[in-house]
Parts: sequence; structure tokens; C-alpha cells
Amino acid sequence: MSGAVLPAGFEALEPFVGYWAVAGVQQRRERRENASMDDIETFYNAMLALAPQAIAHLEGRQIVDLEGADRTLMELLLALAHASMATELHRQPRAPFTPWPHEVRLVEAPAIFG
Amino acid sequence: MNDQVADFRAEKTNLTELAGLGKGPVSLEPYRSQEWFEKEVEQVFKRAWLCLGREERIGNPGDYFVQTIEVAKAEILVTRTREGVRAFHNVCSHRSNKVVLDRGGNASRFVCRYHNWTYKNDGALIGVPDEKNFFDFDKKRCGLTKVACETWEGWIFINLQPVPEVSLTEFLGDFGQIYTGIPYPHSDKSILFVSHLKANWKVIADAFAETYHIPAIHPETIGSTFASNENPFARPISAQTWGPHRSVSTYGNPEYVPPIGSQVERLFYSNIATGNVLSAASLEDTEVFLKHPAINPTKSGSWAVDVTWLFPHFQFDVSPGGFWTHHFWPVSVNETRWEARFHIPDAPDVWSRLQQEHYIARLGEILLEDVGNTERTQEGINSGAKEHMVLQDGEVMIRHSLHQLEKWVHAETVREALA
Repeated sequence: MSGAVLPAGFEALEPFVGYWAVAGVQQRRERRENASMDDIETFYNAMLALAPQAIAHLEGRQIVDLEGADRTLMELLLALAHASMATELHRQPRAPFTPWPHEVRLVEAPAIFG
Repeated sequence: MNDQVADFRAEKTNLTELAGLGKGPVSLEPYRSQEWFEKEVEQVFKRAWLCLGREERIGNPGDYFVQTIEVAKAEILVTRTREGVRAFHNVCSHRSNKVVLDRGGNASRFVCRYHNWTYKNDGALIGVPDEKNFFDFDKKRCGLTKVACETWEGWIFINLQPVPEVSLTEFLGDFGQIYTGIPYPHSDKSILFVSHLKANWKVIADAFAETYHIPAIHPETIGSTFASNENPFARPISAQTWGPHRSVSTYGNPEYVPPIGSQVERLFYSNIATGNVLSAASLEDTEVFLKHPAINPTKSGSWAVDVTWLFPHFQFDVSPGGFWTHHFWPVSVNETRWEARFHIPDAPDVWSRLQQEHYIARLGEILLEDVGNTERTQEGINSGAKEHMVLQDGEVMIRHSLHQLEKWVHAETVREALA
């Protein structure tokens, strides 16, 4: 179906697109830093469950060529890396004892999906 | 050169003693004294060769970047000409306006926007509107003001002395002989973290100069990769000093695998063979490092990262997974512009890009943990509660840094400082 937000089979992830599918590494980082632990965990659990299928869907292609729904799916996968910082490492949205807000920023990012 | 190896399993290591340094408490005045800071600016930053980073950053003829050096009130324009890398003050020879207004790019000539004076990227003045209306005018004498610039092993250095007292080769000394022929993978590609921190530049530099802090500050992000039951306090494997420069080789837990609960880490890394969690590079890159005698000098099987600190304010780190750099640019006695640049390859497919995103996400956490402490530390230093800090053996690079800075601050000549 053209115009779908996500590729077929990934409809369950549509509620997360608005917040988590953003264009750059620094933005994805900020989304995780600004989210509540509940919201991070909800996204993490839903995305992790479909991550192997999502990777399989995108595998074998040059990601620079991804467009539309496939591109959005890739952005969600990338956001999972950031969500995992909270769920797998800190067990809270941000690193313990670190200042918030802070100005440690990524100012030059990778060329693709940066 | 002092080549120090310590057995981290022993009751105590002896890196400080082997480096010929004292063991007493260290004064905090260099971290808070305005008078000392001004001496550092004049005697150190305006006399030492300052590393600006890799020359691949300006790999093609016409490439350029602008480097601000706040303490010298200078903006340095670094260009790639067909003859090599050149550096100039970014100041027009007419009325001293800034010539280049952006931070980098590619241009064969630069036009000052005040009166359209035009320069080639080798500094030569080639265009002056209404030139005939000047007096006894000689364009050849009105090029951009040169800044001494040399490269060594692909690293760009400048020196703010109009005529440097010593060459870059002499400044680097034995270090420059030993660290030759090291490949720097992906040196033309990088990501950059920047922060303006309210702390003395040495507080930030010190934060990246020892691994004693790792189990405390980084318990979840990298604690279990730099420490283990065998080395619970993340003691270094070895330390070396060469004149004003220094390096430590740090311990990595060879047993590390992502814990069961780290499902995303396990998934994203599952398709890629890699030797280290702090990795954005391939096993082939790792092999190249492992073969070089200066890297992981004891050839330890438990090697994580070599942290090499070039005097005064630049560190580069080489790990099995690649290399990165830190610049600690002083802005004032208690302000620093810190730049951390990590060299990583292009990631063209879904697997490599996900691994890279996880790597960068974790880096952001580690770096925040590292520098999140520094402003609080500066406030503690400024309170005057303490006159001194006590340093342990694993903090040998901090002691060496302060010792060398003191030498340079008091030395009348650079050669005397290097003696």
C-alpha cells in the first residue's frame, strides 16, 4: 500500500513513529533523554520484538537508498539503540549522577542517517 | 624515554616512581589561579607546538578549516595547498577584518567581505580593488600573516611563536621517532562531540587521563569492559613518558561479552565480528594496531586503549576498535571548549549502521559521565576547601602533566623547558 507510514507487517509500531522516528543521531539521543522511563520501555519492548524482522526487511540494501516507509522503519531501529541506553544500561532515562540539562552535543554526525 | 611496566596484579604498581616523579600531594593552584592561567597562556600555549588534528580532514587541494584559539585571541585558517598544509591568521592585510567567515569548506581563494581583497589559499594577496589609489603599494608584502605549521605522521601542528624556538621534530623528541608508521583507519571520516564546560582545561584533560575512575563513574556503560575480578580497580598496564609527552596503556577485560539483559547490544553486534565493545572498526583494523610496537607496548592480551597525551592539551586514543582524539581548549581559567572526535567508517548497510548507532549512543553516555563530573570538581577546587589533591599511581599522567606545565611556565626558553 503506497503512503503507508511503515512497511506491511510493522503496523504495531505506528504509534511510535511520531516521537521516535527522527532524522539525526543527536535528535534520537535527545528524544530518549527527554522521555519518561515508561515511554522508553514501551517503545523498547515493542521495537525489540519486531527488530529481527525489521532488520531482515532492510537487509541487503544500501541504506542511503531507503525511502518512505522503509526509511521510517530504519529510523525506529536506530532509535532502539538509544532506548537501550536507558533500559539495558542505566535502568533510568539518563546516566546516573550526570547533569541535566547538559551541553555535551554531537555536532558532526555520520553522513547516512546522521 | 622512560618505559614503565607495572604488574597490575601486584599489591602496588610503581609507575610514578619509574617516571621519576614525586609522590607528594599536588597543588590545586594551577586549576584556579588567574595568575597561573595567564602564565600558561604565555609560556605554554603561545610557545608549544599545538596539534590541531588529522590532515585528512583537509584531504583535497582547496580544503580548509578555521580553528579558534581563544587564549591567543586568534583564529587560524588552515588550508591544503598543492604544496601541503599551510596556516595563517584569519585577518585581512587591509583593515584586519576576518577573511573567512565560515568554519571550513573548499575554496581556491578567499575574499574579504569588507573591500573584496582576495587571497589564494597559500596566503598570497592576488586582488585589490582600485589598487592604484594606494601609496607605494606592494601586494607581495600584504599576504595573510603566516602561522608556523608542520605535519608529522599526518597530524597537523601549529606554533604561535612568530619564529618557533624549536622545530616540531625537536618538540616531539623520542616520541616522534617511536610513533611512526601507525595507520589511522578512517581518518578522513569522523563524528564530533563538543561541549563548553565551566572548568579549567586540565580538569577535563585529567578526566580522560586515568582509568581509576572507570568502575565508579561508568559502572554500566564500560565498567565491566575496563575492569574485572583480575583487575578490579582498572589499573593501567604500563605508562611511558617522553619529555613533555606521555602515554598509558589501559586494561581491558578480555572476557567481556554483552550481558544477557543487553538484548539490543547483542542483536546489533551479532552480525559483526569485533574485538571490543568500544568499537566502530573491523578486525582488520585491529590487526594493524596489534602489530605496531608502540601500540599496546607490552603486547598484553588484556589491552583496551592507549591514551597518548601530547603536551599540552591534546590526547589521542588508539584501541582495537579504532582511534579518537580530545582537544582541551582553554577559554579562561575556568572555562574550556572540549572537542572529542571519533573516527569511524561509513556504514552503508543496516547491520553496520545499527552497530554504529549503538556505538555512538554509548559514547554519548560515556562522555557525559566523564565530563559531567568536571564542573562540580571545579566548584570544589574554587571553594578553597583544599590546597592540594592526592594522586595515586594510576593517575601518573596527571602528575606528569602538572610537572611539565610547571617546567614550561618557569622556563625562559622552550629549549630549557624541554631539557
